[in-house]
Amino acid sequence: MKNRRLITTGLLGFSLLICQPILGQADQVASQSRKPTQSEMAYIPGGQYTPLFKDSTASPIVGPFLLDRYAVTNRQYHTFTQHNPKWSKDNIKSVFSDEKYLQHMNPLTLDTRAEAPVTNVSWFSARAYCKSMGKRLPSLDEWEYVAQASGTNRNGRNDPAHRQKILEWYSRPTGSLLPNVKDTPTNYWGVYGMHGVIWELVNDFNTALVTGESRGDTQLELSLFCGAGAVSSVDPGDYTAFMRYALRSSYRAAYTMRSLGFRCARDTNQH
Amino acid sequence: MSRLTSYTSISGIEHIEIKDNEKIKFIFLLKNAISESITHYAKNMLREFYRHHKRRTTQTIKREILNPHSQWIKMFATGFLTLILPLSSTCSFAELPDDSVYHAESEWRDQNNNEITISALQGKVQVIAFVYTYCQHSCPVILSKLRNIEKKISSSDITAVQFTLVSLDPERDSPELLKRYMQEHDLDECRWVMLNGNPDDVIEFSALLGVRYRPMNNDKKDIAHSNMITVLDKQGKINYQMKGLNEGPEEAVSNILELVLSDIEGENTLSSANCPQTANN
Repeated sequence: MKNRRLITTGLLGFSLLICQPILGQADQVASQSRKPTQSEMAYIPGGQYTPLFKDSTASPIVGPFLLDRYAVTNRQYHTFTQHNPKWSKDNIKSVFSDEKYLQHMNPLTLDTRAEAPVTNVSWFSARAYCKSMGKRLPSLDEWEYVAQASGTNRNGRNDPAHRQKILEWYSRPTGSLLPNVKDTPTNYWGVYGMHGVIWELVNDFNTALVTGESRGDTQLELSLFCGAGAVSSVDPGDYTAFMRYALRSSYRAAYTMRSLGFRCARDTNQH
Repeated sequence: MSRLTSYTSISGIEHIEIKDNEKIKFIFLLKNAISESITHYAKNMLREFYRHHKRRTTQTIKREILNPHSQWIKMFATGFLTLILPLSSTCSFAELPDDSVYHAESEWRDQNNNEITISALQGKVQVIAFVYTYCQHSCPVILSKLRNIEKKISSSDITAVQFTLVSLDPERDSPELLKRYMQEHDLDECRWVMLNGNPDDVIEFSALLGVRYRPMNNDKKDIAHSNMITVLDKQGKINYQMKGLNEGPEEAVSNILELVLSDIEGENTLSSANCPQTANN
């Protein structure tokens, strides 16, 4: 009996010990931070940028920052889910993703489509991936700034031929097979596949305030958004940017799509 | 047997049933908890165990399912059930549904500069809105909507409800400013809390609730944002959202009252920390 009491006391001590870290909400996701090599991220020097929707006369300065040259691939994302089981297909919580999360991912995908961009990921999961790499999702302005470059110019917005090329892709339905990330067109910054392959997630997608209900209408619902009347578009000719904004404004952070992927960014001062 | 039941009744867990096939899993988890990373597995184990057993209501622990040949497992299991389970509830360990926003792991500061995790909001029905203290247009309207809701809930029901205002501008809205804002607007700390978090966590929480916002470039640095009021149940599931300012409080109130009466268990330590009345009890 005495022995038993001793053990019980020991157990009390043990249970207190293991309760301690639970109280502290210890973060069990190990950060696999590593330095990017020159080949995997492009340096984007700071620049003036005119967003599609602007709320003042001043154009924001974007950057400098680093952006992944390629979208995150099936192989890379699969490795991430193996190290972080919380984000695997079986374990992900429905609050972080809809039921189509990674639905394309199977041994065959990993065999034949390993280098194609990963899709069917949610905003939450994409953020977690970037975080695990010591990176972050690019901001909307950063992404759009890089996306406005054509193959030869840092601003291809006013190049009708460049616009037309992009528009053609946007009017095409998504093919069943996505190309390998390295086989996609590169732009002025040496960043691959910004157009023509997948839609990409940005960190502050929810700053796009166009309401989902009023289709084709860029007027903001004044009763829904405080200060919304001050935001208006500056370049009604930039159709593809409108399409991206329309998608972002109807997007919810747990949604996945078979044509929606991402790439990560990083601050230049963070190493 | 008598020892087991007496322990369990002390700890308040009288109705637990363990099935045979779950025994193996339980022991496996237990073994892992010892040999592998204790924190990680113990956390999962507790969650697992809770999920399986908390909801059962009919039977007491069956002694025979514990291996009669292995004394130490019996001892350990007894200790586990009597000591860890009650402790786990102190650690706010209620079983969370998969669609609970409390799966987020963000950390915040309240108006008294207390650190709290987002999951500490569980246990109460939460009525949540995003504001910033120098907002002059819609935020006062949101606040008056919330107070309208507050007034329509009886004093006995209101103890299970908390009104949470999340700052959209954590850099300017320091805990001190939040405190002053609460005092100026006469918000009772027993029922109201204001949260300051890092910008990344603010955007995550807003995304969880479907709130949109956008810092403006005007002189006052206003923030355009959804005028959304969200009602979360005690476990953090979105129950109701008032999307615009044109809706009346009736629907929100009826939803809140329904949730107040729901018997989902959970702990809330947040308000009692800030609330003098409760703290004195």
